[in-house]
Amino acid sequence: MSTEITTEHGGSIWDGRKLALGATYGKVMMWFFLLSDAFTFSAFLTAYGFFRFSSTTWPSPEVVFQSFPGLADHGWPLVFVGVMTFILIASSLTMVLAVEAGHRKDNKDVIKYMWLTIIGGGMFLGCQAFEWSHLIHQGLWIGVSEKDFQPEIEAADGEHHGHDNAKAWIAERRIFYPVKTVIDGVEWNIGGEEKLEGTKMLGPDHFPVTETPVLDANGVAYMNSDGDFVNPGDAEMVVPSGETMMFGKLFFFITGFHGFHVFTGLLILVIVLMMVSKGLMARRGHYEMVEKVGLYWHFVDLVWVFVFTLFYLI
Amino acid sequence: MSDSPHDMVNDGEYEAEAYGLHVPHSKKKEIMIVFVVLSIVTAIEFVFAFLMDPGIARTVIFLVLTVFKAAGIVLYFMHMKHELKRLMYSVILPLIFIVYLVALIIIETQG
Repeated sequence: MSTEITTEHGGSIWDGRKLALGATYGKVMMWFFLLSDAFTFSAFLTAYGFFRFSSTTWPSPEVVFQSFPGLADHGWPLVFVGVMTFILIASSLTMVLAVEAGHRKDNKDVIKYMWLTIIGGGMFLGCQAFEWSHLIHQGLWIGVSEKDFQPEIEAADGEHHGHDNAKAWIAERRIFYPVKTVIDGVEWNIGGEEKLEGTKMLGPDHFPVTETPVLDANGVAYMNSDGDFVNPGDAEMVVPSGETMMFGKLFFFITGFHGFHVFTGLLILVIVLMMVSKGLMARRGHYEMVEKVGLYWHFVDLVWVFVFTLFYLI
Repeated sequence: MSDSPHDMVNDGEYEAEAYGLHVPHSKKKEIMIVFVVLSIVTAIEFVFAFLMDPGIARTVIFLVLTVFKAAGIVLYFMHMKHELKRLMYSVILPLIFIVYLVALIIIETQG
């Protein structure tokens, strides 16, 4: 006696007449690939969250991201990233319109909307290149660490520690992001030239004057323009806190990983566009390949939604 | 020869049609509405970023709006709303592990 479940056609459910998840193999696999990619991104983003929320100080996004290439070096907080976000959402719109055109089997429309999507993705990558270049010029990079700011010292064992060219290095690259910190219950502003709202500016009157190289509790060092350690009151620059450097590492790594997804998405889009242009999809009679690229592209947009919130807003 | 779907697929017929599937299909109007909503929610996020002081409440608002946008993209742009429920749950339910991870991070960074 058979206990097999039968389909509406009367056959066995196991005879291969029915797709288990109601979608073709290629689309199901794209979904599960995206699921695994979502795990990768959330691992990175939760690592970011871990550092962020276990730190007492953190660079303020309104201060870090306030330049607009070609228009303003500062004073336009978050405007540029707003443009970038809009471009990516718009490219998602044109992508879904390409998929919709594919359902109508309108080859011309598919080509048109895929072109627009590629242009949008390229613009987004270009914006990201501008932003990276700006931050790198400000001294932020994935490999920047405290060691880069330590002058060379000779330890008791005769070994040399620290950075050979600390002075030159520091003179070239400065990071002036103000960070907030709490000392004795009062919020202070460390570094930078602008006062953060709701804080008191750390100034000469407030510094505890010491004779030794100053590296305060937050890991901020006070130096003159030659890179010599000085009393805080004489400081011409503030070497960034460990948190600022950690911010740089996480920012470049995570936005870089996202940018790499945008780049590969563009490659696949170009390849599929070539296939569509040559009439391959029209001959096949369906545009499922466009749908699959679309899923990938929307996922890239989806990740940006989270990156945008976590790095630029919170 | 045979009416097996596999043979039809091999003959070049669209797999989805060979299996008699309804391919999820969204209308232009729906797409445009989702796009406008996503843009407006992003604008609202900017308003909160500039007008509200940083804090737990603002962070929660941002996260809720972000998840709302993410849901819009997955459900409408990626057509998940029109797929079978079992495909939807196969992809959405494993995300519970991410929620668990985030909860752990929040708890561990409180101390």
